[in-house]
Amino acid sequence: MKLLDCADIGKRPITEFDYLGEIRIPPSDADESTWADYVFNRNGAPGVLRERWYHRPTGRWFIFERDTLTDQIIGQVDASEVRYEEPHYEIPA
Amino acid sequence: MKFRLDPQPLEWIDRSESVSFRFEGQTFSGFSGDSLTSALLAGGQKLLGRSFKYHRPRSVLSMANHDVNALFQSSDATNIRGDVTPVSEGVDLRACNVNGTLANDKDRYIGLLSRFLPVGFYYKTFHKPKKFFPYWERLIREKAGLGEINTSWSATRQPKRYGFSEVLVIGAGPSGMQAALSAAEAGADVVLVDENPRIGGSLDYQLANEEAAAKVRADLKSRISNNAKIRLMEAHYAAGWYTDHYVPLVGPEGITKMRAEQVIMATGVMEQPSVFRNNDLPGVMLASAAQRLIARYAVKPGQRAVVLCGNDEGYRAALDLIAAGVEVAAVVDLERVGKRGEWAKQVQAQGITVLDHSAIYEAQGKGALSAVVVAPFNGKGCDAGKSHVIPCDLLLMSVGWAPAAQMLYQAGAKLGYASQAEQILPRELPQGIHACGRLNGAFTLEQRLADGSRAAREALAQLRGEAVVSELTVHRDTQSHSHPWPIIGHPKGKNFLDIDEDLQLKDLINAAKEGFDNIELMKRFSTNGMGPSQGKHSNMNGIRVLASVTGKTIDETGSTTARPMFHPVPVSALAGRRFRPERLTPMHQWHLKHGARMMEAGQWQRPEFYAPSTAAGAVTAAQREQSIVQEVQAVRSGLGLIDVSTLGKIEVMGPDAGRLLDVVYTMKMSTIKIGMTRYALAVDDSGVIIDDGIVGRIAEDRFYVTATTSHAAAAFRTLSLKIQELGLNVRLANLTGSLAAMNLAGPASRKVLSALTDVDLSEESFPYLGMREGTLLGYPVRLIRVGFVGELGYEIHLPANAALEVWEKLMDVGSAHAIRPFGVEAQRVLRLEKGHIIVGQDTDGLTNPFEANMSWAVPLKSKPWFTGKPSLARLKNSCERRLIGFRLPQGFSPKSSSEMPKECHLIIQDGEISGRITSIAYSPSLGRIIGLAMVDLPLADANVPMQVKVDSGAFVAIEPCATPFYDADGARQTADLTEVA
Amino acid sequence: MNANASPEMSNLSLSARDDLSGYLLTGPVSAEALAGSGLPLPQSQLTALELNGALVARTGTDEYMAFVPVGQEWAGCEWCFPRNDRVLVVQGEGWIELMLQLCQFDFRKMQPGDWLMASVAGVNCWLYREQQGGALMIGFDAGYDHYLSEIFSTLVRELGGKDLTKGGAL
Repeated sequence: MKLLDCADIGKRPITEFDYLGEIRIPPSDADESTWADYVFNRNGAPGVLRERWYHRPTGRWFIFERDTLTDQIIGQVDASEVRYEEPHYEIPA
Repeated sequence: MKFRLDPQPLEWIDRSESVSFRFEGQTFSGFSGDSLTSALLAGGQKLLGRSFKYHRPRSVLSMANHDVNALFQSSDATNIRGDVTPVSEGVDLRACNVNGTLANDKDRYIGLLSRFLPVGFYYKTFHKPKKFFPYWERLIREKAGLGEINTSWSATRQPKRYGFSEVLVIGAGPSGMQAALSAAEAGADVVLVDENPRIGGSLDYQLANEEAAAKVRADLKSRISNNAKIRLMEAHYAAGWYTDHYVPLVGPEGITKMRAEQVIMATGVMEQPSVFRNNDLPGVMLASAAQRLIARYAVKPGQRAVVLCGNDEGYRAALDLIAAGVEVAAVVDLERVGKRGEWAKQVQAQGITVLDHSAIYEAQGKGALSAVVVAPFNGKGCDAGKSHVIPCDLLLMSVGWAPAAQMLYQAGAKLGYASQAEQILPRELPQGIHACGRLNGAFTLEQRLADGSRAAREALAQLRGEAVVSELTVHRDTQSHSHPWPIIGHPKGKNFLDIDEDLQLKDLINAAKEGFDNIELMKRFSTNGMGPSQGKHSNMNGIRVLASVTGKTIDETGSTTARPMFHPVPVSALAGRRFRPERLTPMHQWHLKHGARMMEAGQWQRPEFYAPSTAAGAVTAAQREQSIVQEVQAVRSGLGLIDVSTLGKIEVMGPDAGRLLDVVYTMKMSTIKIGMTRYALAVDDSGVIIDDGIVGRIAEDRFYVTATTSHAAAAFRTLSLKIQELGLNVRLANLTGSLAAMNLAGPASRKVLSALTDVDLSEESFPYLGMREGTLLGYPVRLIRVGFVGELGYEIHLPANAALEVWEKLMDVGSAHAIRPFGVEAQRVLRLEKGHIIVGQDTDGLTNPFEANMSWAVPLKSKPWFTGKPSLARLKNSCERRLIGFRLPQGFSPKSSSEMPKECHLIIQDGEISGRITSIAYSPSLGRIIGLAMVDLPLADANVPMQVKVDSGAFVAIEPCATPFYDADGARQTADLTEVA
Repeated sequence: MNANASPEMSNLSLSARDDLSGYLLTGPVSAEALAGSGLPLPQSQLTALELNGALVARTGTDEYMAFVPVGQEWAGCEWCFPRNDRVLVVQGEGWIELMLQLCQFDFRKMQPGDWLMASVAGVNCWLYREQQGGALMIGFDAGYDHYLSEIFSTLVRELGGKDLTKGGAL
């Protein structure tokens, strides 16, 4: 089974993690089709994705860059790089 | 025993320990170290099995677990592979796949019907006339399959274990042994694995009589046993390669899940048969099979032999036969003896006839080999007109090898056909994967040893993170050891490619002609390589045939994907120990002592209900129903106590705590007053309900969150995620396990609790939905007035190690009010009477709050954002269904359970599905059956009776009604039978 | 790893630590609170320190797990929560072989003083190797006590060791 090589905890087996998918930022005040695209569609083309993983035994979060064609992890990303401001949505008048 | 030879120098058998067993009703005696097959052959048994489809007589082919001709059945195991299973005292065996006895298999005449059983016959024949197909299907199913399973066999489990190494070497032949030594002597931590009970591989059976090999063998083996950095695992095979070099090693004591940093595959090559008429007769075997029989088991494979050679190795085998006292009538060389090396010269020096440019056209014999027909061969076919017969009872085939590259393919290696070698060889290996020895085209002993050292060197360089240029091809032999076309056509057929599957040459050719001319289609239509051996002795010839028929090269034809497991793995080994975590509350033993019948809630055990103390063991449905009713009545009229320790409990602290909760939940949490709670509903981005609970405020920057049992871990994770994503200044503490909780509910709850706590429980001081901290029996507690079951009640949250004492005290003091413990089922009835939903029960994967009558929980203007807000804003006015309450007529009591409406029963309107029941139960408080149903609009609003289809197919009418069913104005939440003293 | 250890007597043993109170500390004043009470303060995340019978592990930027001998007074702090851990101890010959049946980690690399958090038989656990003697402490939520204790007891006895949690007899 796959090993994830993480800062601070080393190489741990994938079964100790929850996979939370590609990191995406919810769009603020989006129109319906933009919002629906965010909610229901996912990036399926081969490429490098930034994905979030949760290590259950330590409760720590890890972000990896993964080439989805080869399933190789090519780097780890610090959480501060993918932080975002709280979005907003106003009900249209 | 004229089939047992004098002691052989490297034999595996221990002649001082005899072992006796039975086969097909006869007793046989072998030695410890024999396999079942070798002991049977030594005892003169000629016939070992009957083939899959045509029930043809069979005996040894590979003696390497690359075929299943010898497949046996005992009283407690099936599909025992005789060639590689050690003899055991007293085992009683019979052959698989026979109708009657092996010798008189009543199905042996099926072969005569072979015209009606071409490849893919089950797609073509027997389906017309249609009405007879069930008969044929039953018959075919009976005849197909191997072995019998006895369902009363006990289930066994073999523990699994993890293992770790720097270098894993698979295969302990000469190159594997050398690779392991080179790596270990350079300081690596090495595991060396071999599927056989002893290491040595072909060094010990193919080169058993070679002088030059003896010194190498002794040296390698002694250095291995003296090297502390090599962990040797004999009798273990590598079942497959998984991501990041995770390799399950299957051995007699179970599976070791080995994680390696570098893997060196020294798995060698698998000998391939020649294809000619009757090439499956007992007495026809691979040359290496005969060598294994002689060297390992001291078994004489026959009396008079012919040896078919497409390489040098056949001549080595001929010499071994001579040394074992077998008469070698002739050597048949597919090419010319002049091409061959030293061994061929030695064979000729013995005066043995060698026939150049010849092949075996046909094997003859009734039930066993008695002669072969030899004919001139031009590399493509035979000239049958010029054939002659040679009597013999043994034919060795030494025509070529296919690499045991299954795990290389799994690891993503690229292989290609090397025409000089006439063998598929590795071209590109991924990081961490190495190949050496005959697998990599190194054939002489010197080449194999050098190649093993090379592979170790490259593995070590990769281990150290050094750049390494691979010299993969440097030690490969320049000459070929495989013949490119050992395939001889015959007008009468019965020339087999896949011996497991009774697949003939014409079957493959016909499949290709029918259009199944792609290797993947060919495999599945013809079943080549789909039998128990998974193509080990047949894939290479299959590829050669397809390439020839389609005019493509071997590389263009390709190969099918080899998947784990390399050999079949027993279910007991895969099962391992059963790790199924179970989580108990501090009151668990108390529950059991007081008659609780437990149920699973995720990993937790919870009381479903409490049976009367007089009931022992299983309880009837009526008794269960009665207990639940009594528990509900106790809560409504006096006092009940339920263990809710399984709830998620999370402390949320910090300057941004309120902001965090505002983002995660639909309601505004940052405005909760200190000492109050609010219902907490969580939806996902699409607006679907995922969890509920409550949030209470302890202080300006401190909140206490509860979540449902099954969602507790996910709730904590979601809060943690939002903190990360938004960079919030918040700390979390998951107190689910460190705090226990119990709900004391009923009109007498205030009176009983107030005697034990310092918290002021008066209505003015501690209103409904309030939360207070204080002490209870001296322990720190949080008390919460929650509304789930609809009576005056207090949820008591306290340290786990105080819980049992407090529980017992409450039960003691509460006895004056007829207190009863109540379980999950009673709680479900109580909340149903109040019309409260259970997430996941009354909601499904698509339910949004509006459908569940919860718009009150979704304020859309008070916060700029919360998860799912944009979706909810759009869903608010576009509901297509709604949750409604319903009831059945008073006194509704069907005769049988199949007439009773149940959860998930459908509501049918005008022949269409218009809804379903989500919850339904008998309500003691109302004296009738009530429930909730999710119903399509406009029917949900029509306020007319609806029809529910029950199990019997009949329809039962349900009547919509308003919720709550009980105590609509909520007066009971605050009602109190007596004043607080 | 040639074969399982023969079931002869080895000095492998299973015992429990009932003499420690566990706490979770989180927040900006955690470090001060620990130092102020004379408890050890690990500097790097996911490391642990022992001092005078107490064990403290740092599990986050300002989050700690502290295990303090029962009865020992210490001040605590505002965001400090008692834990409900059960702590088992495995030591003696064959402890690695035992752990390899339960947890995917190369225990040969775990030195005395090392801290690990991993899944053991499906349960999230913390693990620590004592400095003196190298015994392995395994801590987990007490709700899993029945489940994990049973597993450890079975394995210890299978490997020829003693389950001392059951009064010392085999």
